[in-house]
Amino acid sequence: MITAVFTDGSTKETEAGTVESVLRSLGLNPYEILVTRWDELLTADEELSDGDTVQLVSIVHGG
Amino acid sequence: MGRCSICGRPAAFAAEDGPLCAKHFTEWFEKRVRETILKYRMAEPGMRLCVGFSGGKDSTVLLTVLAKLLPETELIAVTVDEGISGYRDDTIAEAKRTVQALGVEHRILSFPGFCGKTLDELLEKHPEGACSVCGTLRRRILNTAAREMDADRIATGHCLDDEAQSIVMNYLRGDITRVTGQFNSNSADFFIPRIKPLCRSTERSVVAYGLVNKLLRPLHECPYTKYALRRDVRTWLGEQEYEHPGTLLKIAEGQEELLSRIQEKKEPKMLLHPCEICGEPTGNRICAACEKLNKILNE
Ligand SMILES: [Zn+2]
Ligand SMILES: [Zn+2]
Repeated sequence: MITAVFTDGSTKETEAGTVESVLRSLGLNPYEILVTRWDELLTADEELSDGDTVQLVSIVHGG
Repeated sequence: MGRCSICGRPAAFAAEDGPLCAKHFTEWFEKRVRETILKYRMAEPGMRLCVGFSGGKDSTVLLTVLAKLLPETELIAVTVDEGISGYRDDTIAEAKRTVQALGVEHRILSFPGFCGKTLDELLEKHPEGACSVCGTLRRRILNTAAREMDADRIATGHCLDDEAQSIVMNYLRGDITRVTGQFNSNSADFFIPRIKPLCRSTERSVVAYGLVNKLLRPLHECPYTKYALRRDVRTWLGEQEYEHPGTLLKIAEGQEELLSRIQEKKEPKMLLHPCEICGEPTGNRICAACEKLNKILNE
């Protein structure tokens, strides 16, 4: 499993896979979310492994 | 794992022309903005730019990139405090940190300072009008501030996604007046010109630039709901851009091409004015009829 951390601090767990498949399994639009791991920005084809924790950043702007 | 197409290090961003590492993505992004500024002649050395700076993602990236790309242009950042509780205090603190780090002059103007009420107070009865009320007032406050500081241009953080969304929304609403750009024809006489240096950069690349350059901290989003049509168009265009990179750019450049073709047709081949003799419209001093008559009568 991998742990996804949202901007507001909430978390969700999901099956390991690529960044894109993780976002889709969380029901998110992959264009609208950027994913970082250990502060490094990842591309959509990056493979995430069991035990990874990633940060999700929405690109949608609020001001 | 994706590798940078230039140096082979781990890729951070999939650009249209291939994956790029953080360093090469940063260079690629800045080059795109520099080309946009040059192509549309947005700024020149010695100018004073009033930069709309909310402290959000887009305007933080805008101000940072402008400070880097335009060292000979004076920048004054203007933050409008709308008075949105639970949202604005954080972003204003963030805005102050950013301008201090960049060494840019900063002014903070508030809705109450302009009209006596916060946005929350203005929207008490009709919260559904939030974005339109907020946008109109912010525009006005920014315009006034720019005029008072004698700025040559107003720079805003609007990106390619905003532009493509507006274009598609005009079509969806059948608003041909806006599609054909026949709106506000003499506005240039009354307003300081606005520039959008990020208008050829996707929102995704703007936020990615902020992340890889450690400019952004997690912030609260504006609590007022976005206008429903824009939200749907945004989601749909985002899917298109993700599956077919370059779609947003094609929409914006297609619109530009459309306007330039209409412009060619709209612009009269010559400027007509009254003939000096008979008063009928002509492109010359004397119309063809009078010229011929003159010639004949003076022979
Ligand atoms: Zn590289
Ligand atoms: Zn005549």
